Amino acid sequence: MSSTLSHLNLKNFTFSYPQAENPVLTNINLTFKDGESVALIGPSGAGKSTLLNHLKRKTPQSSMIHQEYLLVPQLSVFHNIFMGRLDKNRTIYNLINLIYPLRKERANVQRTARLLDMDKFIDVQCRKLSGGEQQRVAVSRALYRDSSLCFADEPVSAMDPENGEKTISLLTTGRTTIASMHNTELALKYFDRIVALKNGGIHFDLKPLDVDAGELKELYSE
Amino acid sequence: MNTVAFAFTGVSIAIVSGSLFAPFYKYKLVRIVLTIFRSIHEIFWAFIFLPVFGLNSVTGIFAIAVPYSAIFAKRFYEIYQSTDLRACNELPRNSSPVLRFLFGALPLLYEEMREFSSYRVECAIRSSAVLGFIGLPTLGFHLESFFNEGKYSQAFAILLLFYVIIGTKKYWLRRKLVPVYFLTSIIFVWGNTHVVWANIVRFFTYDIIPWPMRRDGFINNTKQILWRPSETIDWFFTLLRGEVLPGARDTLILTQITFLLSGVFAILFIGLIVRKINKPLSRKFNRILLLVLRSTPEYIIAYIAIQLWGPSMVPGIVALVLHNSAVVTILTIRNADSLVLPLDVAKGKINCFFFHILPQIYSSFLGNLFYRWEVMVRESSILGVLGIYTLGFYIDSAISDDRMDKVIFLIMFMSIINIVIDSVSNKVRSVLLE
Repeated sequence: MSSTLSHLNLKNFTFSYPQAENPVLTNINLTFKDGESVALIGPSGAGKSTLLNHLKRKTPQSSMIHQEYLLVPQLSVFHNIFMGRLDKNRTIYNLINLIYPLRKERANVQRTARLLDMDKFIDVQCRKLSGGEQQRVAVSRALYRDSSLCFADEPVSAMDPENGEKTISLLTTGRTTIASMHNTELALKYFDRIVALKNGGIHFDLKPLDVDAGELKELYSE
Repeated sequence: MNTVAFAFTGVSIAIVSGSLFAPFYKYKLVRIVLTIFRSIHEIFWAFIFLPVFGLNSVTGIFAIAVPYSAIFAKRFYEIYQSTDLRACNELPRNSSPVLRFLFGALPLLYEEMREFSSYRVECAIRSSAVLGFIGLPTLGFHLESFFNEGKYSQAFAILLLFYVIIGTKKYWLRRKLVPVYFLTSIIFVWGNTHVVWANIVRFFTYDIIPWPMRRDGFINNTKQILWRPSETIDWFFTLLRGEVLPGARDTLILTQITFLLSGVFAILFIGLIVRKINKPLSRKFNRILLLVLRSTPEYIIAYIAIQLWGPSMVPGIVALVLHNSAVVTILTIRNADSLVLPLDVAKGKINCFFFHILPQIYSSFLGNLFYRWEVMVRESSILGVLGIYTLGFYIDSAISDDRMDKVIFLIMFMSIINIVIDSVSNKVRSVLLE
């Protein structure tokens, strides 16, 4: 039986941004199990990204896929993926790879990049890639980090359906994944649990099979 | 008081003449002449004006006003070009161009012009202080005197006074007080102003004529000018081989060493003050240190360094690198501080700086470094006045020998180098900042 990730527990959690009138999140109660994949769904502004960022800050060793990718556009795909494991190597080793990527590291990065068909772009500067390709680099960086806990904020928003499905399948296998998703179809198909947020609170917290069309309609209604 | 008075009067004249020249900046000839004016350092302008006006306020004011007029003309033209002036089209068609400018364009251009002028007042105070080193009664003169007399505490007090003037600028340089400062400056410098027309005429018609053409007249005391083409060509090549080329070589060596080291130091300084990887207290402390380095004219840093280590390239390099790397850092840091980094960014300042921050600011950093390249050439050449064998050294020697023909020739050559470097750096910057 899988254990609970106690350091991620939230009890009556409320969050406000400084100088904001109303809290973004109110009375959130959540626990997460090891190895579980959780999709956060809900309309824009419901507080999904705020919740993810808060959870990420509690777990520095975890990996994170940002909605804006936050790649370094001037560096190559190799460097952007390699960055996922900077804290696992010595600084001097990292700097050598920044100037001249070593064969061993290239092979490691290439292996990860191949999972999302990005190996052919390994030497291309990220700014020369399309939005969807950049998003695949951001996902590859998180996969390369090989952390047991991964946070993802809209990880497939710019991808075509095929790559989107492949990405979600990879992210939800072999690790704990907490991701905000606009694509409810993919969320229901691949995730173990669906947490719906609305107006800063939890609207429902169910297994995918228990989520029906009426509840989804109500979630996204004004 | 002289320092501020020279700066204020010089900038006021420059704003007026710069505004008058700005509409003509689109014409190639005007642009070339103004570029030459801009490329000659204030100290060299002072050298040119010294024999014309003598060691008095007019020399100091014009040494600032002439290059600054060219700078203002260029900048005002650029501001005019980059401003959306469609509001002018709404004014009545038959109104005069002057009225159309005053009502339609000036209100739109005013804020940027005011900001640039205020920044230039600060630069002019720095230039004015440095003019003291060639004998004009500004802060540099007192600094040099105290150093020569071994009165280091007084010299330090002069430096502090300089920082106070620059550091408190935002409190005393108020819009409403500008006319008061202008009138006070004029009254202040008026008493020390002598213009002898004969000197001006002699300068343009006799002093700057090549020596072989003046030699016989000088010896016979008839001041006759004779046409001696072969001797003049010999004079030209001797000067080129003996002074211009060695001076240019050393100026460029000093510039390029400064350029490279300024880049290295600026990267180091950016790493020390960028918000993402430094604690607020150490960041603030380092930032103040950099602001002091940026505010101190490189000439003053070089002067102090030469007092400590004697005249060689080393104090020159130290001065230029410290000043220019501080300028490049301050120009680039806003860009670095505005970056958004991912939440799973690696721990460790060096990793974060080299992988996340530096690649993203690198082109703006290079752009700023290249922007300083032309300034570095100008600064390298004036350090010759302090005894380093750059073009300034030969110009200073020619001044001591009262050889204005050589001075003009050397300054013109230096101006050509500046213009070439300026155009290369502009091209590189336009590619980098695309």
